[in-house]
Amino acid sequence: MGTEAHTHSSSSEVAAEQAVIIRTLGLEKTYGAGEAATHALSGVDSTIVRGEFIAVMGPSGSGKSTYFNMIGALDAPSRGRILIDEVDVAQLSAVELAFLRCRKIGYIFQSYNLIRYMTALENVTVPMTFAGVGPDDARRRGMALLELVGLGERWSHRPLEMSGGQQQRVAIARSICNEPRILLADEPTANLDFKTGQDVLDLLQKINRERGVTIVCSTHDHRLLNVCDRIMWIRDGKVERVEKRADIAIRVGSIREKA
Amino acid sequence: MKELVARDQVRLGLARCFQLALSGMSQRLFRASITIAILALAVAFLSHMLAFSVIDRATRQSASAAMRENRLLGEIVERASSADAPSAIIAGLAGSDAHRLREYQTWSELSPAEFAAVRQSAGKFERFEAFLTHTNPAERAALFGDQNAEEAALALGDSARLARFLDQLHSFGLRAPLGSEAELKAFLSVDRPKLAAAVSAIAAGHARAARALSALLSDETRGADRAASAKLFEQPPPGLLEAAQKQGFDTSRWSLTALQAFALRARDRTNVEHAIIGAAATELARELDRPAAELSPAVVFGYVDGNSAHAVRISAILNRAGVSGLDAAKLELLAHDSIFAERVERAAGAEAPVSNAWFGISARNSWLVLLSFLVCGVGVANAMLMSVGERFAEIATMKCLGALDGFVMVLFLFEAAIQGVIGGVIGLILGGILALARGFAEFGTLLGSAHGAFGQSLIALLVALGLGVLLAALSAVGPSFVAARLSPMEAMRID
Repeated sequence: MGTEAHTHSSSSEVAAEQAVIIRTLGLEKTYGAGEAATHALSGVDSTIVRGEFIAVMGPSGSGKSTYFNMIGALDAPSRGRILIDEVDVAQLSAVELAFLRCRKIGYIFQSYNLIRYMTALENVTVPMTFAGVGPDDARRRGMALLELVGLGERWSHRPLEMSGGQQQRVAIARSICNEPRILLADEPTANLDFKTGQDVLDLLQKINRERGVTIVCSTHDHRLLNVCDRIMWIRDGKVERVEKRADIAIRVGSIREKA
Repeated sequence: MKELVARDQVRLGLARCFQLALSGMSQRLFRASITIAILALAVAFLSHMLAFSVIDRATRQSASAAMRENRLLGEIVERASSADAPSAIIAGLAGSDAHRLREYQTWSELSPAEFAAVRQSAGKFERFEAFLTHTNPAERAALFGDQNAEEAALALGDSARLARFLDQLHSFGLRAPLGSEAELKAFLSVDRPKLAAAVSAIAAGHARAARALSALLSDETRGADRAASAKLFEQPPPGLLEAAQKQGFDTSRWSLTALQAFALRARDRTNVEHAIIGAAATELARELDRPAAELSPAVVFGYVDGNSAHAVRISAILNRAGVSGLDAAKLELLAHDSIFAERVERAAGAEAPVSNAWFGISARNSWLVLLSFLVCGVGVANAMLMSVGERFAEIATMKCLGALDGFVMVLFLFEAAIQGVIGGVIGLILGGILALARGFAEFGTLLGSAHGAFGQSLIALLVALGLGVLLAALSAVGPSFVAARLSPMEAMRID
């Protein structure tokens, strides 16, 4: 199936080569050693194209989270290479990795991971502070982002004073504040109810469409299939298959009809 | 199209780190306040130790200075009226008190060269006397019986007695006084008689001078019942200083106002003492509600000190008992002075061997301080570790957002240092108050005389504060390192 994905992306080889933003080659990750070794990933080749919205789906324990940590430059692979914007992540120093995480990748977490003691605005401005943006500038941009996610009125609220959906929207504002190329969303709707989950997905789609940000989103939420461009299925540490949404939309529709 | 992603991340200024540490801490007030409390206790302990030992030392020193001054005043009053005893004169000659030596030379009527020879003889006599006092009691009894140094030296002038003495020395296996037999013989035959002559000349001269001074007093002031010396300074007669100078007294240390105050105080005190055991006894016993046998000047003064109402009643009682010129205000002052003097005596008397190392803190106390700091360090390190532990997600998230290891490290160190400063300042205030309170309990108002040590005790307090901050920062190094090394992956973990 992995080969199928490969042929798929190499169908228009030259153009695709230009637009690839994340590429993994023979990615392996092993935890433990010897008999007790667990292979979380065993040879993942994947290509993510600039500007696309890709959903990563798979059952728990499939290696999905490990894959996420790898492409987010949060963890180093046991074997294989990760190229982000054609740069091999393994070659980067700690300071360069911090730069990468700060400016190139935005992270959205299942449990929002807002900093409890900061207001919504302060949470949004933290990464800008790390990027060296002046406080006034950061405030102005932070307010604009909060307006964008529809929380301009609540800028002074702390996370505990907000609902889950609101917190996640603050987290999304935070993730895009340094205008990253890539947005990694790890189960962004898992802790949300149906309605707010839908709002969050709409917001992600809007960001993808209007800002051209590449979004990689792991999920169990089948609604995501409606907003993404491609779906990568991971099973047992391997890419099972990669499908275009156009190919499966009907099937999903039929499933839903039957349900 | 292809753009290099790898660039160095911005390093945040310390001011920004400080600000973030502060806002982080303000949200975890409970944990922070525990850490602060631990630090405050340690710093309070240390600063109290240091400040108290500084206060203690300064108070004792100023107390002994005050006592020396009082002693000097007493000595001047005493010596203005009566001649020194021969032993005092010999000690003075052998000693190095320039004032006294000047007086003795005048009264001895010797030339400087002769006077120098006499001083040498006095030195030999002192060594002879030292031999006597340092010989063990049994041997001393055999050698000298119960003679004192002067009598012994006189007796040994007899050659037969000297021969027997030397035999005895030999049999005890002792060396002759003054180093050798020849020296001893020279001392006995030449120095001793010369010294004796000089001492009696000085005593005579001194007595003459004292008589000349008391002649300045009119008959009625001199009275009959009390020593003229006290009267001499209670109301100094005109021309007293000049007369004293003419009589050979070295008046360079005579301050008539201080002497008069001293003499008047002594007179009032004596009057009160007499009244307590005499005419006023029953009335005082009733007023103080104590048996008359238990009354003493200290008890009465303690009752009066700092209580004007008591002073008024007691002075009325004393006046009825015939003590004149002692109104309530004066009595209160006298009581205050008397209690002060008592405290001075006590403080100066208890003057421990003062170590100059480290604010004069004793070795035992240094150990206590070290131990308390160790315990406190462990406490702070533990609190910081817990603070790191409960912030795993926050730290990891920050690292995902681009925080550098150094930033996280500095963040935690700052947090500890801020807590250190707050705890330290609280501890410093507590410790300072404690030291002052303890000083007051121990020395009372005498503490005021230690104001010279204010600067030093302030330094001691600041040293304690600095150590507290350092301790907090040091014990936070380990936990901060743990936090800094945390993997950003922890942010993905769901708990």
